[in-house]
Amino acid sequence: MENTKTVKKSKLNKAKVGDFFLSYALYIILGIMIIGVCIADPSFVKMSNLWKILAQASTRGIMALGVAGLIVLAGTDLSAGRVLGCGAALSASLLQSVTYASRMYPQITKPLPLILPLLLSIVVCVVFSAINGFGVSKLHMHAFIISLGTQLIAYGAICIYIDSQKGGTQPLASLDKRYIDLVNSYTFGIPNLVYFYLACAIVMWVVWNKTTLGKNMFAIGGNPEAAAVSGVNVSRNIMGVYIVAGVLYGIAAFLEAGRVQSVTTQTGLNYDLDAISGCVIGGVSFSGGVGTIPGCVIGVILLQVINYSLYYLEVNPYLQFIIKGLIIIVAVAIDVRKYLAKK
Amino acid sequence: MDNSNKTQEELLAQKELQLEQKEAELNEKEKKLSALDEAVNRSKHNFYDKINVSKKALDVFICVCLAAIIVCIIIGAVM
Repeated sequence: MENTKTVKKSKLNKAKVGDFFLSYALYIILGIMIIGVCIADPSFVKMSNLWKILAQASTRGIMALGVAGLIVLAGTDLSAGRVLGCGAALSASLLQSVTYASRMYPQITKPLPLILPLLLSIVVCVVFSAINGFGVSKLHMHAFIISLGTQLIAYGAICIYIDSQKGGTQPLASLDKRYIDLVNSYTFGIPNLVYFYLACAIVMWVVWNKTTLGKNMFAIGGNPEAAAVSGVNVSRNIMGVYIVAGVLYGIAAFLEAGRVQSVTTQTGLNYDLDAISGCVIGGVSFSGGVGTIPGCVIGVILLQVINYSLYYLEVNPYLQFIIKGLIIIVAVAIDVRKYLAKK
Repeated sequence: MDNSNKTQEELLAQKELQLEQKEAELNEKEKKLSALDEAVNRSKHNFYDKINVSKKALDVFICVCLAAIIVCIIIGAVM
């Protein structure tokens, strides 16, 4: 009897260990990679590097918080990067220094309040996001297709907007000092961008966990038909999630323009892919209905640490693309493996 | 006394009939709801259901990808 009990116990323990490794596999793998980088180059372990990584991860992270909601709905958004570019171009053009001779709007002779470009950036991003939301919820289009379309529209819009400058296509630079200070300065030794990211993450945690919209989002992502039968207004909630994502893109766009201090037609390129891969690494499942805000935040930061460490180790940039691609494939494979284990 | 007993019996019979009717209605509703649940369960399609692969094959695939990542990092750092 005792023998059978010990065999059962050891089997249970093995299953628990297996579950643990499966749940945290990607964190463990990426953690080992980071430790490897630290051993290869001990100068990597510096507070200044940590703040740089967190500041770089912040804008993509804010965007990822929006994209994560769409992935929970079993959708995606390929236009997020280009839409961010639109918002960034608008913010930068309105907040160029009034003393800069080649500014886009010479008629602006007094510095604008910072809130105005932020609000306009949010409005532009919400419009694009609402188009995606309308396509998915009302026209029942696949999120991949409709967001691919809006990605191209957004790219065309940025090119036309930046090309409409008097001097032709030139980067939107020489930004207002107040704007640069707000985004790039440090408070209590921590970059302001990190505070913005943290604030957005807390707000989104509340939206996901304490509001009807958040609960409906998980219900729709898990099983839309069951949610509809339970009395959830599916299309209205899908629109709601897309609009919230648009607001986050707008905030990220405003901050990104201030961070890079020079907006071109290429601003935002591939940011959507970084945001999506950050979400997947953080455990937001493409099967829908699964995901957490802390996971999403950690996923984006881990991805940024990998990006930065590869750059720090001077790994060939072409190989960096291959490594990032492989990490995304592993993330999705682990997600499928988790699903199979649950089945 | 007989009359009052009769009326009481009639009332009881009526109530029994009503109860039976209500039970039948409830049964019908339950049937409808369970049919709806089945329909919902059948219509639930998961993105990953289309991926027809065994756990072992997936484990091998993940290991191969990890090995490829390590090889890429080593080659990239050496290059």
